[in-house]
Amino acid sequence: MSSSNYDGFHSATAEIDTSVEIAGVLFKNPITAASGTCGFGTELARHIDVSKIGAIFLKGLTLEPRLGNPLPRVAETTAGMLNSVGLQNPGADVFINEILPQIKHLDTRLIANISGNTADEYCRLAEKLGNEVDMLEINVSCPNVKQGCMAFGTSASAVESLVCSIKKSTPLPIIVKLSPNVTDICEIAKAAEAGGADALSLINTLLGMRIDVRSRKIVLHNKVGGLSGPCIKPVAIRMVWQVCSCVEIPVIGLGGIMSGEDAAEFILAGASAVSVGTATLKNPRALINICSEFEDYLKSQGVSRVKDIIGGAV
Amino acid sequence: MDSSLPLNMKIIEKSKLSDDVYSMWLKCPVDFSGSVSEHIGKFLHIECGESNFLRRPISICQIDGNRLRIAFRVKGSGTRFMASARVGDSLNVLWPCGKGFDISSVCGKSLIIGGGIGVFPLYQLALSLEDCVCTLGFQDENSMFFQKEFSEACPTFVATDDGSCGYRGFAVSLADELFEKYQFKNIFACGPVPMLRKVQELAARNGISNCQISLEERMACGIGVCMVCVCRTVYGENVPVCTCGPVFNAAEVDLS
Repeated sequence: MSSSNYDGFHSATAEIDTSVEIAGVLFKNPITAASGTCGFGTELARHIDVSKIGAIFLKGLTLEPRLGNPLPRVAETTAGMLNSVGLQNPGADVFINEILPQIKHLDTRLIANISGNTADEYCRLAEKLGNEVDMLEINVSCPNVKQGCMAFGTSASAVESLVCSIKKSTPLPIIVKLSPNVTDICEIAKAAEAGGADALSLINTLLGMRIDVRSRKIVLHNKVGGLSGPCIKPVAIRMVWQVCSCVEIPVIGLGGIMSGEDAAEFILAGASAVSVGTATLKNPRALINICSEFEDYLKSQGVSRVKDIIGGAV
Repeated sequence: MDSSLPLNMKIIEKSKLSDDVYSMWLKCPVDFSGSVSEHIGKFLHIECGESNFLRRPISICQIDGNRLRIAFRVKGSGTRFMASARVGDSLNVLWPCGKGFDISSVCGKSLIIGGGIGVFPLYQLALSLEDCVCTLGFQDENSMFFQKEFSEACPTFVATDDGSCGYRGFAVSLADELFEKYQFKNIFACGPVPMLRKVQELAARNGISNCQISLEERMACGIGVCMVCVCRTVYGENVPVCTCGPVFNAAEVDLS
């Protein structure tokens, strides 16, 4: 969470203005790290200069510690992977007392990703976090936990009342992370907006399954898992485009971004910023490569401000 | 920031150890001459072509100057890709990953126990430790590899499940018998989980506090961010094998 002034919004090497604003929070550029693929920032900071990216969406957090699901938790797929980690995390107290002091100085926006089994758990967690981070991302779309979470994200009325309650529990802007595992994503997006969401992020993983045909066993212990990677990108682009045309609040797009041009595609679909997730699992430097490829794209298109191309697809 | 960024390493030697097991020497931009002991038991996280999305973790088998040796069994499409690579080709590698064997505190005689392809991460250990004895377990005499290399490094005993070569039975049962002959102070092991459980028992029974075991797990990131490769510790936590391991103190992991 950077408290320093944001002189660095304009890229030092070019006269391109890469800054974007999400719900009153300025990001130095629209390329961010997706929750669950960058730990709590310290792990990623061992491999890249995180001050080069717009924000870090921290590992999914719950009030109490969670051990996550039994193994196997991962299965490779064509152009992607399934995971069933199940929100393993050390809980709010360890995060606040031990992890936060190590990451507060990072020169990028810090966004806590929160989950709960009940609306009350979300609210208590939001209260506990106070204004220690820049924004909150409300996870109503994790496919890997039994209670709560995706149950909220697949019902318009549940999402609206949950968001409404959380808004009363935090001074921070909130981003609601939407599940693609719904019939009509616009209905859920509009409900989140009506509940008071300041922004939306989409898409979380698509529910999937793999079977080993030789052993005839389902690969993941949890049977089903969340599909991510470039194989889901066209679905994500379509949903970002649909949501951007039905809500007024800004959208953060994610789902299979592997290159600067993939990021541009989401922004042209209407996203104000994007998150890179699974690409980091393939290459820890993916975020840095994507930042520079994205700038190259802007230059090649003669674009001087990212803001000018948001939703620019015709 | 660490230096473990992905880079291309050229294959400078390749050989077939058995029907489906290969050995490769890779050229690395760093000279390990002064730092071999820091890298024993660590792994390389290797990209396996366009059609395999995730990297594959392969333990370092031997270190010689600026050359790293790996050995692997072809199990699926990732290792099949690696096996199809030729001398002169490059592999994209994230390296060196994980926490390896710690030999800085070793004193007295060491026992090395390897099962199947689990012998590979132990080979550099056999070369580096001054006073050690190895037991290697294989299915049968046709599926053995590296017993000659180990024998040249230290006293080595072979066990086969069917008794077609050496001791009839498991490497860990053979190791158990060796305790009558040798006063071991340290144990290092790698192999299937049932074998590692027996190694834990062996260490506990003989009061060996320095028992280090290397675990194998399906991985994604290799840098401790995705949490798909965790193992349970005796403290009730799930920790990533890729960064907290693959080598663990045997008394600290719960393999039940």
